[in-house]
Amino acid sequence: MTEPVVSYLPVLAVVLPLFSAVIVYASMKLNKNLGRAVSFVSLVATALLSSILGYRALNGRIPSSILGGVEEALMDFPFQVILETDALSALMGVLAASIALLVGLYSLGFIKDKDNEGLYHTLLLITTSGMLGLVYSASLSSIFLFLEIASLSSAGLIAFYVSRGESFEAAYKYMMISAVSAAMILFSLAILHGQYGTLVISELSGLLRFTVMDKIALGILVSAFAMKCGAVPLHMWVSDSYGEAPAPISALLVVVSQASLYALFRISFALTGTASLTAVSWSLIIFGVLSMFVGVTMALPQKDVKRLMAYHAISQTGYMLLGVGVGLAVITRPEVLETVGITSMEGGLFHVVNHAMYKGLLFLCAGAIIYKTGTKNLNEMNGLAHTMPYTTVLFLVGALAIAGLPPFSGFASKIMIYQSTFAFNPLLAAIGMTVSILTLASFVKVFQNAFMGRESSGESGEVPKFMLAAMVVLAVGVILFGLVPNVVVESLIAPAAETLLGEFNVGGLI
Amino acid sequence: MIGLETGYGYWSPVIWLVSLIVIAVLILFLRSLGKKDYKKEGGKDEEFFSGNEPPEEGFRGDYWGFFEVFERYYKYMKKMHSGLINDYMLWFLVVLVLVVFSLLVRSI
Repeated sequence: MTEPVVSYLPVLAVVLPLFSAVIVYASMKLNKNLGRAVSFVSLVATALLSSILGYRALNGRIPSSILGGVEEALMDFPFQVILETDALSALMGVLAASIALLVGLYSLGFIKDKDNEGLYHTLLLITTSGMLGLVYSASLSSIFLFLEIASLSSAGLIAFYVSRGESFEAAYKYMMISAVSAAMILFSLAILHGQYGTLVISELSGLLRFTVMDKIALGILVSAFAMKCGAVPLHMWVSDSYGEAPAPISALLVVVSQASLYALFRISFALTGTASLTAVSWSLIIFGVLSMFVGVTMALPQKDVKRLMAYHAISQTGYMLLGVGVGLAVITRPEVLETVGITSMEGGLFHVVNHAMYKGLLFLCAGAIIYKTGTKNLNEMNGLAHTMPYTTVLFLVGALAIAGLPPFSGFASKIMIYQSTFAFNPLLAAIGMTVSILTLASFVKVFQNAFMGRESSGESGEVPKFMLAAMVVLAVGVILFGLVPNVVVESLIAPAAETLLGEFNVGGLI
Repeated sequence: MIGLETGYGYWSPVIWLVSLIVIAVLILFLRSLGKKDYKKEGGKDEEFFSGNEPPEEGFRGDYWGFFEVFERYYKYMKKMHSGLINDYMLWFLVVLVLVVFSLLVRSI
């Protein structure tokens, strides 16, 4: 493939699902099977494109493209859409496109013949496009643009069961927090562009003088993205949105939130100098610890299986924030960075990947339970292992992984975070381990309530094959990443962590 | 060798799996030495609450003690999670002020 063609691959990966969304909506009107086929094929093509980009980025070839025309002329235009892939964005891109593909596959069974099925597939593709655009963005302006696309379409998906008041309320709340975040991000973009005339992250990183206005802009960006990724105490929308959205969409929302988390990490490293280092790194660490603890303790008393999992998603985001936050905190101390910081960051980033897989799996399993029993209330479930043996095993894989039990993938990333944060501050590691124990306690109860006991008299049998297939793929990923964690860390995670480290604002050190 | 450097230590799933198999075999051997006439009747498989009936039925039941100990914490958390969008925005403002203030402290 020639380089000019390759430079447009990030654009193609973003535009393909966007255009397909329109085609899917139209074809659904003609023939539902045709619409489903177009939706699935475009998700497969998008995942393939993301994988090609990932492969090239890992081999040091970084495709970059500026949308809209001649590059020199565009440089004076404040709102540039610049897409670029490096090891970190490529990893996130592959993750986002793969989960979207599996959600699409699962939805072929889950959402089949429901009202507004066409709209569902259309919004799913638009959200995928928004997520990919966000992770490939090299400028703050494109991050803002794609965050808006992903948020608006996600809100539509959350409100899918629009006749239910709760879904509509959850979507409204999601819209509100997205709108406020977006407005605040736009405000900080105006501050930065007004001073430096650019919003390209790499350029800003070199130009920042860390004035009072710069710090205000940085504080706004950190707070707004913390809210979008569901960090405590800005997390309240998560349980509403994840809890009320259709189950496969909850799995997708996990990755949408992780795309915001990715933006938070990128900004924290690129736009933070030594003067802001302590404040930003400790903000991430405090967000992390609060999210871990509050998330898991709020999950424990939940009776609604999806709200319970939503609180666990908040808790797991805490691990990622803690891992990367510790890495940022020690970035100016080379000997500590070498022994503790890099492992901690790798643990945090590895946990992003693992969490997307096992939380995706758990939400899909929750969807399978709801699909068969028609209830989200754990007190109304019983003995599902008798009628849904495959779902039981798949749920168990996800539950053991989220609880951090070996040899599943969750354990590998958690032990990296525990050991490295222990050297940084033993209390943080102790909190992390306590949270894992509480997570296990929570899932023991879920498993006992939903799957153990006598067979209930409800509808029996397994879910459709498309749904099972998507869950099996995720479970295989969870097991595989747990069995060969070193291969994953060396080939995918370490280059991503290196990219993040390389973005740290060296100018700020002076 | 399949293994992962964890900063201060080393994690090998292969060694763990081999150990698991060895321990499982040992446990099964010990179990085989147990009484053959064991019967489940008589409440042997019931949840144990110091000889009392479980204080709460349903999902919270088994962790009743945990919720009792953390009653005040959960009371506060319930109040915090009001479900009102106004409260969500208030928390955002609080966090925004704290983060910006912590960033500005060294500049003032």
